[in-house]
Order: sequence, then C-alpha cells, then structure tokens
Amino acid sequence: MRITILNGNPDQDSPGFERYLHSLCEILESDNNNSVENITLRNLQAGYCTGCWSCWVKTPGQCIFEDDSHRVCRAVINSDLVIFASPVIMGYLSAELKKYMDKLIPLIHPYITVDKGEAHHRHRYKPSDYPLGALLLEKTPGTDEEDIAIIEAIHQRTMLNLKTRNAFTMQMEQPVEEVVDAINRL
Amino acid sequence: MRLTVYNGSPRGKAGNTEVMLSQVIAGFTSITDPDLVIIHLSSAKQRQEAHKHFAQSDLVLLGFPLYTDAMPGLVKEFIESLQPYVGRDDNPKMAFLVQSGFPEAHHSRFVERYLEKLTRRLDAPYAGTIVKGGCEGLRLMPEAMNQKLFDTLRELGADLAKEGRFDQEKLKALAKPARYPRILAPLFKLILRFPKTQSYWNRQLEQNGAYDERFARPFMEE
Repeated sequence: MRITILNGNPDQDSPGFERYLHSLCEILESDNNNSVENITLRNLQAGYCTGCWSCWVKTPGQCIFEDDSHRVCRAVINSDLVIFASPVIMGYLSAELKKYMDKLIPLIHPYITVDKGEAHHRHRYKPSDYPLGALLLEKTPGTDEEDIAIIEAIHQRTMLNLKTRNAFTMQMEQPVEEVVDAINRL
Repeated sequence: MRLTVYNGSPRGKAGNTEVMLSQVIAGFTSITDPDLVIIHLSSAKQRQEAHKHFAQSDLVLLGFPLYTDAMPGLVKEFIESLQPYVGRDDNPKMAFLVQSGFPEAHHSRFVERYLEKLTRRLDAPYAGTIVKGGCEGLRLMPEAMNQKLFDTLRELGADLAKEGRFDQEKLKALAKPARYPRILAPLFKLILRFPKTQSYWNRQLEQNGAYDERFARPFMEE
C-alpha cells in the first residue's frame, strides 16, 4: 500500500508527535508491500489558497502558484491512504495542515454533480484513483471528546468532497500498533 | 461600544464575503453607531495584528467562505492567535457568517458546530451564525437579484444591534434550502449533464483558453 502522512504539526519542538509518526513509519515500512512518505508540512513552502480558482479555470488541475502544494497533490492522488496528522489546536486541525487541505481542490473538478443527494464537485481523476483518508490526532490541554467528534464530522465531509471517505479517526494516546492494525485491516 | 468585523475571505475586499458583511454592518449601524474596526485577514500584516483588536472589542463578527467544509487556512491561523485569550474574563460576544457556493446550507452546518464550541472555549457569549449557500458569483449579480438577501442581512445586522444576537427564525429562513429532497437527486443529476448548467465555469475556462484542458490530470503517475 502506498501511504502518505501529512504531518501538520507546526511545532518542531514537540518531540512526542514526531516520535509517534517516526515509529508509525518504521513499523509500516517493515512490511515490504508498503511504501510510506511522511511529509512534514511546516518544512514546505506555500502560501494560503487565495480563492482565485485558477486551478479550475486557468491551469486545470494545478495551483497556478508553483509552490510545494504541487508535491502534496501529487503524493495524495497517487496514494492508497492519506493520514492527516495534527495536534488539536483551538479545537481543530492545525492551520498548517488546513492550508494544504485547502490546496487539494485542484484534485477535484469545478463542475457540480449530485452525490448522496447533495450538491458536490465532480471528480477530476478516476473515482478509484482517490485515496482513503484517515485522521490521526494528538490531544492537547483543553481538548475534549466533543472537539474530537466535531473534527471527525467535518473531516468526513471533507473526505466526501475529495471523492473518498474517512477510514478511521485515531488518537496518539493509543499505541502505534493499534494504528498499524487499523491500516492493515483496510 | 466597539465592533470588530473580521473578513476571513482569501479574496479580501473582492470577495462575496465582503459584499455580505457590508450589508450586516449597514443594518447594525442603522441602529447604533459603534466604534467600528474592519480587518481583512487575507492581508498577512492585518492577520498578525488581528488578535489585539479581539480583546478590545465588545462584539466581533467573523465572516468567511466555506473552504473544504471548514474555515479557510488563514482563518484558522487567526483563531490560533486567540489562544492566549482562553480563560480570560470579558471576552467579546461573537457572531459569525459562513457562506458557500453549494446551494444547500447543510454543507456549512458542521463548521457552525465548531464555531459555537469556539465561543464556549473562549467563554465568549454566542450571538449566532449566519449560514447561506449559493453565494459563488454573488458579487457578479445585478443588485436587484440580491435585494431580498441583502434586506435580510441588514435586518439581521439590526437585530444584532438591538437584541445582541441574530434572530433564529430569520437565520433559518435565510439558510433555505437546508437540503434538497432526496427524491429529486436523479432529476438534478440529469439536468447537470447539460453543459449550460455548468456555464459559470465553462465561460471562465473558455475566456482563459483552458476549456480543452478542463479534465486534465497533471499529477497522475502510471
């Protein structure tokens, strides 16, 4: 399985988060059938989405700014599973991760279609090209179960709009092996 | 009293959020004359200073377009800058506006839940969230077509000044359609196959000479 981890931790000085992802990668890579890419978003260069829609109407399928969001889009659409990893900051995914999630819209099409009885954007790639999504969250002081439920509910919607689904939501207080098990069950 | 309006649109003054917020502000100022500060979060400089105005306000209004089912990344950056105000007494009352291009309000209900929780996190009184779909292209419409929407937004602004919160019934009416009946899905699907229904996008694709490339898959590896 080709797995991309989008590491949305903005803080290089929180070693627990990085260690967790590191050991997750190690275990996953020990299986020769897996290829794993752990993208540390804070080390990439890209501006926020400006809402210009060029990726839909001018340079279809890619952001008009030649920044590192191209690399992220390429990794995502060619993966089988994308793990969105983030500490919970003010009750939601980090701005660092959200920045790159906003910049995934080149992967879908501006045309509107009907999906599950609702208006949604049409797929750009083949429906089978879209990877499964998953959430991996680190609770921070002040994070409660309601926050986790809200993040998961929003993420399920985001994955629906990325023409896929959220396969699981897990937290870093769970042992790494449990995340590996969840991935192996997919 | 001090009212701070945060426009969270990445398009700044050129976007639909600006058009809608200005109607709410007009309604508000028709009732009372606040010390009004307007901040455009799309400006990096204004975004970094934005939180300072939060603490000095009695009421804040944060508006943004729905981006991948939540707030745009730059709005999240602003919200993170409010972290030092968690646990502070006397945080301002908070009101919100979420607009999206999807016709149904349903898409925006998930982030609305987040915003309500955010006010509890900040121990800030919650004045409600204006949710409106079908807003892409709003700024391009003739004034007359937006009249009813604008009237309601001004009424909501006036209510906010008078009652300190948005009127629930008006919010509900404005948000229609909440969802479409499922039974209509096959019909909509059929209608959307006609190129004319996608003309908003096709026109722009043609203007940019990109129409033939509209289904491009530039990142696919074999």
